[in-house]
Amino acid sequence: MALIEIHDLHAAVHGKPILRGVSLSIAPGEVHAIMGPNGAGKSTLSNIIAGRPDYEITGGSITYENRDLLALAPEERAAAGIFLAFQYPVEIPGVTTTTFLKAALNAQRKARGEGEVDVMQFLKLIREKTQQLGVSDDMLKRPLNVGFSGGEKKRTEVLQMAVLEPRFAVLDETDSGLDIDALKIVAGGVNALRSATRAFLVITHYQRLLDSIIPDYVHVLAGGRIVRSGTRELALELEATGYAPFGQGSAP
Amino acid sequence: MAADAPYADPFKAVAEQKYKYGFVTDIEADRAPMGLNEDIIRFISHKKNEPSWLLEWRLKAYRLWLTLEEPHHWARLDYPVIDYQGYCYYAAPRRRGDGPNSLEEVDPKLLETYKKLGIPLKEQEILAGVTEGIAVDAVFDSVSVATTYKKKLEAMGVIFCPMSEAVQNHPDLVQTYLGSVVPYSDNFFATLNSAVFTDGSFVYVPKGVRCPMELSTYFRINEKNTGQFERTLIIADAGASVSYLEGCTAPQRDENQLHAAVVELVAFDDAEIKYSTVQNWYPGDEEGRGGIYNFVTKRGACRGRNSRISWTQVETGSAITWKYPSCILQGDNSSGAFYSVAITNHRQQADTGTKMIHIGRNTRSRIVAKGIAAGRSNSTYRGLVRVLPRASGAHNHTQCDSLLIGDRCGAHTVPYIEARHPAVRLEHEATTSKISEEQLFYCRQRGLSDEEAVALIVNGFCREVMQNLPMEFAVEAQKLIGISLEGSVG
Amino acid sequence: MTPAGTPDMLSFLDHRGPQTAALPAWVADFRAAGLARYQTLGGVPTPKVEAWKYTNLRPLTALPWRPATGEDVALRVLPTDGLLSIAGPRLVLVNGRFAPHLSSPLPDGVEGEPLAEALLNDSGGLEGLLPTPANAPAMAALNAAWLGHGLVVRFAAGVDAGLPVHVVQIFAPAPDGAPVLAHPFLMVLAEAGCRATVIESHIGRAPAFVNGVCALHIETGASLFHVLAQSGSPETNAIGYATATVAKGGSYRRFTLTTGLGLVRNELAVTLAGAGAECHLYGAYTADGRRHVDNTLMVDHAAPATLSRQVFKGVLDDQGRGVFQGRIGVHPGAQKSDGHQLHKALLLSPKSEVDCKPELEIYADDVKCSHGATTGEMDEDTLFYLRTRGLDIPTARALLIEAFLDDVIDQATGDAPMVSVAARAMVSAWLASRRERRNQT
Repeated sequence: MALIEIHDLHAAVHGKPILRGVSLSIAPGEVHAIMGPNGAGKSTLSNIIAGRPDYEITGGSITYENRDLLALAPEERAAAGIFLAFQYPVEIPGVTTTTFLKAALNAQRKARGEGEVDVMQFLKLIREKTQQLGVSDDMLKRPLNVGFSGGEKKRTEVLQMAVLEPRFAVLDETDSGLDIDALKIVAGGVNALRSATRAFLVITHYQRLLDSIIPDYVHVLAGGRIVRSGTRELALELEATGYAPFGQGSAP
Repeated sequence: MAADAPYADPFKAVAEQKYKYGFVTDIEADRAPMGLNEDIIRFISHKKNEPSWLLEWRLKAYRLWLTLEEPHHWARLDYPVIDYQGYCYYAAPRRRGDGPNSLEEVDPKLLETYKKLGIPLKEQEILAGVTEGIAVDAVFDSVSVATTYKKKLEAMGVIFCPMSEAVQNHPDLVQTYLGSVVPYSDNFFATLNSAVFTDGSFVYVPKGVRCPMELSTYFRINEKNTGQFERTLIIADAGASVSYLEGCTAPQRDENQLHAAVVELVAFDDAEIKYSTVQNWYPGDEEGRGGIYNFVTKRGACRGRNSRISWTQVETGSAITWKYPSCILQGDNSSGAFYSVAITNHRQQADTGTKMIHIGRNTRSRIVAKGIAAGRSNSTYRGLVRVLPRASGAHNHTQCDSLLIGDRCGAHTVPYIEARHPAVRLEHEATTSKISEEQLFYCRQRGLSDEEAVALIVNGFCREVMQNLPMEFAVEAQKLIGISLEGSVG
Repeated sequence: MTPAGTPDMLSFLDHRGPQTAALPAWVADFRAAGLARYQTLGGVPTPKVEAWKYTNLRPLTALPWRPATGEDVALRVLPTDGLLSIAGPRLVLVNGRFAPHLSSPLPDGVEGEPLAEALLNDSGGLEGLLPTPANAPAMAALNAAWLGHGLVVRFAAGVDAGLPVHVVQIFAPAPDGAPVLAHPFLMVLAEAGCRATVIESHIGRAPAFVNGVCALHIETGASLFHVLAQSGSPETNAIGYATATVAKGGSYRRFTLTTGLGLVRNELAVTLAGAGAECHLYGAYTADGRRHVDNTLMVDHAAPATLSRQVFKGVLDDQGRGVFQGRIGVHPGAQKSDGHQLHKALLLSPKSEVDCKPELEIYADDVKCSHGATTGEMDEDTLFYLRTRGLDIPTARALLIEAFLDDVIDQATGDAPMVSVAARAMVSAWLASRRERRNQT
């Protein structure tokens, strides 16, 4: 049974239609990749899954664990296990990475009716995850994302994912702006989280990331629709042909 | 299909403000008749068995006060002219017998009140090297009802007692320093305070002594239509150091209560005074009914070389805040600091800041002011940095940041920077911003509610100030920030 | 009523300019409204008035000023001070009165009319363009009470004026040597879509007290570059109140350069009235001797997506005093406003003084506003560095002062090389005179 079922999703931003009928079904344990040219609607899809305001749903539905996802507030989605690794992580001055992680974890635990995390346990958990991801102690003490390099920001996103342990994670162009070493660290972090109960949607412009995070399925999003679906081979094919055969965002 | 619910305007004010300190203690009180005249002042002075010089001082202040006008022209505050005859200037919980000499004799209702407020009035075993205790002076309406750890402090020569007790037991010290930093003629509210002040804390730390524990006073206005006019005096002799905390709450009442305090600090050579305030007087309701009018004069004199005074304040309460904790940097190499968080919500108005007067050579001052305005409130930073002709090498750095939550509030910055010596470095920076939609969404994506997200972001915004609070206060103050902003987002 | 004991600047009102009888009826009302406002505000402001906290006019008003008369216009030759080296047509006022013999014709699309004539002709809806005395501060209201002399300059819609238009104000000795009092009024109307440069020069030659008012209207999409250059005798004192209204998409750029005169106060209130309106206000000033230079700026963001920039730098020497008051106000609803303000002061002498009051007054949440202010002395390390390269102290100091002011001149005049060169020459002239004075003593 699908963990998340997107059905004929139509959406607009400031009155401009972006998604024109996206359907996608992802089962637990699966990794799906969405590729496509700029302006195809890839980021719109990830923002809608996470519940960003200002996106107007003009048709279709998203069902997550048998619930109407679109009726939930962003924080309710988070508590239900949805995680978005942002393409552009946001700076929060004065709030250290540790403080932020603890606040997020406790908010989600509270929403699930669990008690606050034990401080010692939390610190132990963080230490463990940071070592895996090469996140320095210094980054934990600094205000979240403030003055972080592109690579540091993306690693911090994956660290948050590791700590919050979502059931469904969307990675929105997590590879953009990363050099090959940083990409390997990030991919390693994601792969470590792959499990039979957890699903991923990896959004990327380039095939490169999919060498490290090997997807079960690959979809091409162009002109607000999924125009082709296949397996990993599709990504390799795209690398050879480019997106030209699908038109630069033009709808048929 | 449009998913309206999760996308609702996050800045819509919906929730009710919750002021958890709004309860009233039902206790019998001794009250002076309503209103103010020379007889009332004599009544207060008599109640406190004061020497004649103090009564004369009060009367001198009162007679001057009659000629002064309530200042309404420069502060960005809008409130009706106050009817000073409509307040009671002395209210004290009725004592059993001769009054409490030890904690065991304090009225259990009062102990219960402070327990509810989370103020420890019981002395605890202090484990050497593990925790430091906090000595508390509890002021209830016009009088001090309990002071803890007095004995332990006395052993080190530290005097920590209610002002009325200091007048009896240490008259020379009081006479020397009372009014020496804030003269009775200083300003309208300080002059009123000089005439009618009732209690407050007195601290003297002798030469070379580092006060072993945090000293704190907890102010509570309970009685209806009562003004609280406390006077606090802290003296740190050469090489001494002390950290002092002050907290304030009041019951939820529809009328405006008046609070006009004066605090004077004196630091001699190499002495250090750290003064922290968490002000959470009742702010009034959403429509601006009730709440405390808080007109406070706080000033510290760095008299000695290398002396240091720092003010840290977290101001979340009061309907009106008029407050400028200041430093007179007289001693060469002395330094002053002002760290402030002022949060206003609903119809609250705050006009607060500092004055740093550089008189001595190589004097330093630092100002960090964070103003947060929500609802229909107005928050103003008003600060003066003045360098006098002798103050070569003076250095000031000022950072003022304002955060607006919603589009019906106002945030203002009014600095005055006056330099009369060339060898100075004065730097001032100010910014105004809002919580971005991106920050809010990011936090919500990680599972925080709107209100949790705002509280977290605002606490981050205030971090530089909060770091200067003693640990025990910082945690409370952080929570208070969240509570104060409840209802500012929906 | 003027408060008792304060000098009364009204006793000269009888000497007022063109006879009221010949003027349209509204002029008399306008003057009466100015007088009433001035009196309501209590006459000449004292330092108790918040806006005048740091500038005290009272000592000046005690002098026996005599209102300017037509005879002062006897000046024959135009000075070459300040920015007058820059080419362009000239409109000259001597002691506030138009001097046709010193003025030159204007190009097509630009009109300049002496105010006295404009009032007589009642041309071009003048009444509606004048700032209402009912809202004016005291000294501007006094100017309104004296309305009669000055200039009205109009740039026609869509015109690209090319060469700058000079408005030259000379304050010359009266024939009898009496200290002169003048209340000139200047209006600049930049009609929709025009591009124009106005160079206003204040040149002091005599004991004078000038109480000017300037009204600038920048219409939709118009762009006005306004330079105010003040130089000359410290016996000439000039206070001025200017208002600029910038309509949708309009841009007002102003550069105030003060290297001379005695007591100077340049008050400027800009209203960004239409969406996308901008103002860029720059200033460089020096105050030496006992000179006093006050720049008071108020920028009101009254419409969304408006932008303002203020950069002022001052050098204070001897017993000179600098005052900078700058306010950025954002009105409710003026979302996406962007305002920034910076003041830097360099103090050179132990008796010099600078008072700075930068203010933010914000009533909208989606805005970006900030200000900064620094006050300090010359950097000793840099001075030392220059000396190790062989410069003597006076030369090194002069170089650093020049560099300090150059920075703002650059920002203000980047695309106007002629103005840039002339402005630098003004600063050099000030430095040369400073050095000369130093050598004499």
